[in-house]
Amino acid sequence: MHVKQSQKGNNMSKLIRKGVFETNSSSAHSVSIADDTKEFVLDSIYPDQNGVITLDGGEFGWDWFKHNDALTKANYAAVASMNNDAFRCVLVDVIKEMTGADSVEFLCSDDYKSSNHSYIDHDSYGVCPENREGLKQFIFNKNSWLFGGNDNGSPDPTFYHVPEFKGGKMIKPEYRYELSVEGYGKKTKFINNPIEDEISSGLSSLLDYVKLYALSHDPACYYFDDDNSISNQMNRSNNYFEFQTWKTPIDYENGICYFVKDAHWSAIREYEVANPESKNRDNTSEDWKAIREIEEGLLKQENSPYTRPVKFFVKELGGE
Amino acid sequence: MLIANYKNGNADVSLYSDGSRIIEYDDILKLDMCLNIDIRVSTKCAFGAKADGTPGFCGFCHESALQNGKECDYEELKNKLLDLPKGIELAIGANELTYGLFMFIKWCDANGYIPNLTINQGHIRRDIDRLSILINVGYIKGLGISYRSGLKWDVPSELLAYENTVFHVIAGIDTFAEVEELAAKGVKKILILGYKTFGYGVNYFNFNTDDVSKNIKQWIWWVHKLFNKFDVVSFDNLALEQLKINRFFTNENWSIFNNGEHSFYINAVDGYFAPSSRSNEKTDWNKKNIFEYFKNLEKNAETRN
Repeated sequence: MHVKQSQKGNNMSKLIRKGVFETNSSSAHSVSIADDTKEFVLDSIYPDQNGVITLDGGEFGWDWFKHNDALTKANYAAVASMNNDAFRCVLVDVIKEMTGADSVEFLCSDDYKSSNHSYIDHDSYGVCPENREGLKQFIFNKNSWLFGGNDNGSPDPTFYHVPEFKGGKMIKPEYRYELSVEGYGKKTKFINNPIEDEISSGLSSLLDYVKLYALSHDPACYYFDDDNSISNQMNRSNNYFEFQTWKTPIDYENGICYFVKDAHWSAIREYEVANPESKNRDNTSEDWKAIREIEEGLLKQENSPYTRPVKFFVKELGGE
Repeated sequence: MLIANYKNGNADVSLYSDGSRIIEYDDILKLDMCLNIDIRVSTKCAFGAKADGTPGFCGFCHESALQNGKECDYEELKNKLLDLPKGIELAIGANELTYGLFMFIKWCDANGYIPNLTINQGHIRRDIDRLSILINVGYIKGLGISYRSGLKWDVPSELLAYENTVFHVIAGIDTFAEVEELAAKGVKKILILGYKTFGYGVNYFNFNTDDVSKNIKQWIWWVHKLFNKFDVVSFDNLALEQLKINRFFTNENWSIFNNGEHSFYINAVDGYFAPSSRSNEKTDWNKKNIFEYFKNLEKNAETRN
């Protein structure tokens, strides 16, 4: 490896060759790629024995995903260019230039009956550059990441933090704060001291799909179930609490969030007992407003059977 | 471990036992002498062309080696190398590890130079005794082995285990699959050389144009795979061009990782200096001393740039 580094503060430069002597009797080792150089090398896609690169496309849906390998990003670009001939031409040119391939074949199809049915979720469209240089960097530069997701939930706060390989150095995100939940093993991290919205997103990313089983308000008896396999979903008891901030807001001051159980039907029953005439008619907006107030009351009452408070902590990390 | 540290022009050069080299300098690098010299000490090679001119085992040899070639006058060569800065690397191509060459290498080491040797894979068994001494005593610091796929694989494990062994492979001659397999055979470092249409390489190319071109094409397609197979993958300048290695770097990183060459070639048999072994710009070594030649070379390079 040869690395040239300019040191700040003066004009001193360094040239570094790593891990190999000059043994060649015809010309020097002009470029050497050693273990710690590899991350600075752009990615590639390998043509087959006939010089053909085949792109199958793929389904880029609404799940949270991130990729920096060239093949996945090229497949993404292939799908993005399905109905855009000019973009497709640029894509072919860039792939041929960067890989030496003789041709590029596309198998992706927007026909949902096809085995190569491919699509990009509407939230993710538009992220793929269509100009030559931008596309080259997007597909082959490992510092270019393809992030996907949706606007219905929050990714982990660390989701968008990726190492950057630049100027002969790997720059890793430095996390200084950690968010944890009492009794639950998973944690997440932040680069800066998180504000309330960031804490909310962090808790959502940790707890959105977690079920809490808690017969009492004693946190020592809490059990967090985050096994969302089909078999577990079919077999587990429905007597669980869920993390729903819109029903019971997070208490940032005291570091408490709430898992809740559905109190809606109980509220309706309570309302109907108090207002028996409502049974014989469709509920009016006045009825629903009253039911909602009862529901809120059920959730907020002391030692409510419908809520379980859970403590969370934001801790400053030392020396990480 | 630091094995050499010397001043060269405005640069402070440090060399380490694993081959790592650090050059520190102010502003623009200005060297009094090259960082390494490629030296040819013999035109005699058992794999070279026969006396009647028919091609030998290495029909593509760009150095046009001959089975009845001759060895250089080592005393004359030593005179040319005197006064070089201690720590300079000498890359010596050895067709045969003769007693004369063995003693020359000892002399290089005793004078503080860093001799590195390249030997053909097919000659290892013949020369293994002297080679072992050169490695074990530390007379050479790096070993290049010219890989030949047609030969039975019998490279001694001590050479594979030696941390500074580099296998030289040729894009256009060695197939990509064969080179890929070297990793499984215990090879850790490779140097990929471009195909030289020079010497016997011209005729070989003319008679095998399709094969060589197709082979190089496959190297272009798949060379990237090797980066994760070997500890070190290096390229000579010709391979950089032929395999379009710059496509694997951003412009910024290319300027960092490719620091070009500060070397030249000495043909000690025919007594001349040249920018490289595939250059026809020959300068009689009696007409210029080695320092004058290097200065002139750098000046010409600056003018070209």
